[in-house]
Amino acid sequence: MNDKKSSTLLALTAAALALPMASEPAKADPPDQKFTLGFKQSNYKEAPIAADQLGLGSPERYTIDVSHLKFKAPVSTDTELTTSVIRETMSGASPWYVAPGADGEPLQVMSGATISEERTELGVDFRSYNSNSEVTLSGGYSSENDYESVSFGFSGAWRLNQNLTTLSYGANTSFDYIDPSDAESFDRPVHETKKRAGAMVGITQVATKTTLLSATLGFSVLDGYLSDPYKRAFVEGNTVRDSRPGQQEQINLNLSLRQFFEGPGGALHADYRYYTNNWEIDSHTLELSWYQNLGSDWQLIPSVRYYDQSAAVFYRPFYETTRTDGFYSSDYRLSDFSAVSGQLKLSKTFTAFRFDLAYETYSASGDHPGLLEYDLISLGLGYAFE
Amino acid sequence: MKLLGRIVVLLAALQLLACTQVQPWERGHLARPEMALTTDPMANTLRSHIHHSKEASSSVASGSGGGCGCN
Amino acid sequence: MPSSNATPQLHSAAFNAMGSRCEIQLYGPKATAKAVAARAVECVRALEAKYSRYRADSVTARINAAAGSGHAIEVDPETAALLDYADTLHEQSDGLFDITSGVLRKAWDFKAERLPTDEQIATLLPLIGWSKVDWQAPFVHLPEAGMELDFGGYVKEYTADCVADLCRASGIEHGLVNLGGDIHVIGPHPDGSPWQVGIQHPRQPNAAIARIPLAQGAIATSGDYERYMMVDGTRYCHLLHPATGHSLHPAFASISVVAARCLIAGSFTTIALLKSPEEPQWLSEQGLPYLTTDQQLRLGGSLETGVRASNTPTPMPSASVQ
Repeated sequence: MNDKKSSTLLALTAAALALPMASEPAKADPPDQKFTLGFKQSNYKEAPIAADQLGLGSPERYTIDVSHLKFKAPVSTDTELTTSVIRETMSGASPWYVAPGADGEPLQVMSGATISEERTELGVDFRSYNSNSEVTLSGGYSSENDYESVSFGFSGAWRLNQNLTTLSYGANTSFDYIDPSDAESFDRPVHETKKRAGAMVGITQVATKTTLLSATLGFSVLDGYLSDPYKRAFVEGNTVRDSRPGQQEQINLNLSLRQFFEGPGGALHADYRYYTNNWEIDSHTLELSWYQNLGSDWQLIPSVRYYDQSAAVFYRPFYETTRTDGFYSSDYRLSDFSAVSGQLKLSKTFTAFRFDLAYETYSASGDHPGLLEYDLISLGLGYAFE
Repeated sequence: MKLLGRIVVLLAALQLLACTQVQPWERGHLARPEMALTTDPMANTLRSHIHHSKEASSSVASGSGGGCGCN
Repeated sequence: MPSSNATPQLHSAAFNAMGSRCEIQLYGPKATAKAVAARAVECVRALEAKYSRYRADSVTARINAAAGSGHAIEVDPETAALLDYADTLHEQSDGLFDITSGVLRKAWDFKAERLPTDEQIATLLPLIGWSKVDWQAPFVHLPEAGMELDFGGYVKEYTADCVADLCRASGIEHGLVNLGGDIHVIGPHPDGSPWQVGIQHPRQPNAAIARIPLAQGAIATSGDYERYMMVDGTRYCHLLHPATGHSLHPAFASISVVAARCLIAGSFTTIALLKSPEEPQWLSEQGLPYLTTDQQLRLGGSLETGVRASNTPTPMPSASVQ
């Protein structure tokens, strides 16, 4: 056989490429002109704080029940509208501040009262598609008794190079209003606001018949009240308000690999994220998932996630001296820690109906006494109709 | 800015990796649902929200979304 | 295959479409394979209805009905791509593969076993010529009343590709689509072994002249045996020269070509047969695996064949698959 491709073969191949089935894009995901309804019910439960880490208060932590309903409807042949409602019911106690124990070890003090509250989030996405590009306009609103947030987003993609390459971009912004409850009795701030603006660019590339690669770079700026109104910091024997800088810049880089293996009939997902911000927090996240097809449209998906972050420059579990910059926070989220989680998910697809069941367990480790362990169980249902 | 420089190099490398032209009809495996970047958007929303509210990091992704529930 | 995967069952569907015996064989969970096969048959029927010359509501009939009217017909993107493909076929075959030459069937009646008169042919020749067709996407117009387009020369091969793509997109990894000998392999048998494709014997109906193992890709076969008549001991076949209107005498009784797409494979078999009286070596210069059977029934070409099996009876008229 000749290695040199004949000009006839090249000409016919080029003409065949223009035919619709042959050129059906691999990942272009055009509007399918179907109505789809999705529902997910989840239970999130944090493990109690260990007795030797607890300074004061209830060891019980948060439990959240989340109901998520999503409905997608075609508007025209190349546009679709997705609306979603999320309802969360939360109860439990939360970490308040950290105090030194008898031997100078940090101990978590929990909030006294059991908090019970609800959050409702509404979201709308309008997607418009054509053969080489698409754009999506998004809007969202979230409301709690002490927190409101409005957000807007614009994103899009260009498909190039016979759909082998997809360039994506997006920008979004949110405005948050924070009005903590019982502000007077607990010395909490009132009427605070926070703004966020972010932008991202990404590229997805078909590398081989079975490999997809993707890279995304994001940048965002937060401005306003970035502290936690319900947390305090222990400074020289007294507690003061959690107080963080009023500005934060963040960069994230996400790399993804999707590799299909014909032998076992499954796909490997590898996702890595590098994150850095100007509070000197750097983090690395690695998540690996294996999608095993089991026949009869059953799928089993085990995955592991590893997360590691460094502490914010002003973070201490507690402060033995005052700081000249006036920044104090003993929030475990700003501490140096790593976390491992494992997830197992089972899904089954019928012609128009699908369901999935997932269990995840998460455990963080580090120096902070209030680090988190949680279990998450989710049941998902989906239905599509014309 | 050093990071940005590295990222530009990385994006260029991604392009070079695709040295073999994968024809549209050879992309059957890539079209499988488990080869999507996000296979279950609703689960993704939930887990991102949890990780974002319990860890210091967050990512800028497409779409909007906000709110807290951060206790 | 890992033990976690249930042993896939073979599901086949046989049916008549596009003037041929067709067969779809899929491995998969029973319900899935059955549902996908049903959708595949539907896909074949839809394309048959869309491009059939015989249906008044087909795209072909609409274009042909407007011939000479001065009104151009606006076509959909799929038809536009098929017309562009016809243009490429015309160019690459030096004008021999011409989708306007179908009108010659009015003179060539193979069933009657009677040669057309020169007069009959002469009246039809002005109606032939792709270069006369006014094709400016998405508008097509045949300038002379009586001119006809015929997608029959390659739409069956295109359909085999569409159906295979459809099955793959539905999760089928092992299977095969056979539309009257135009074969697209979705994937090998579940154990990885190739399909054994029987090549129709050009002189013995329902017999294979060779077997070709094919694990992926497509194979198409054309020959002088598909429609022909014997007049005074001479074979006149359906391959007609668009410039003279006469039946060609190809150097080969049959040609099979293997390519990634059935449409490409089929285009090469037809062009190679049309060119063979003048350039019998043309196909050997194209770099694609092929098999030829010459008029003395000698096999040639670059394809590795199984044992010659000229007397093996086969269930399929155009090609058999095991």
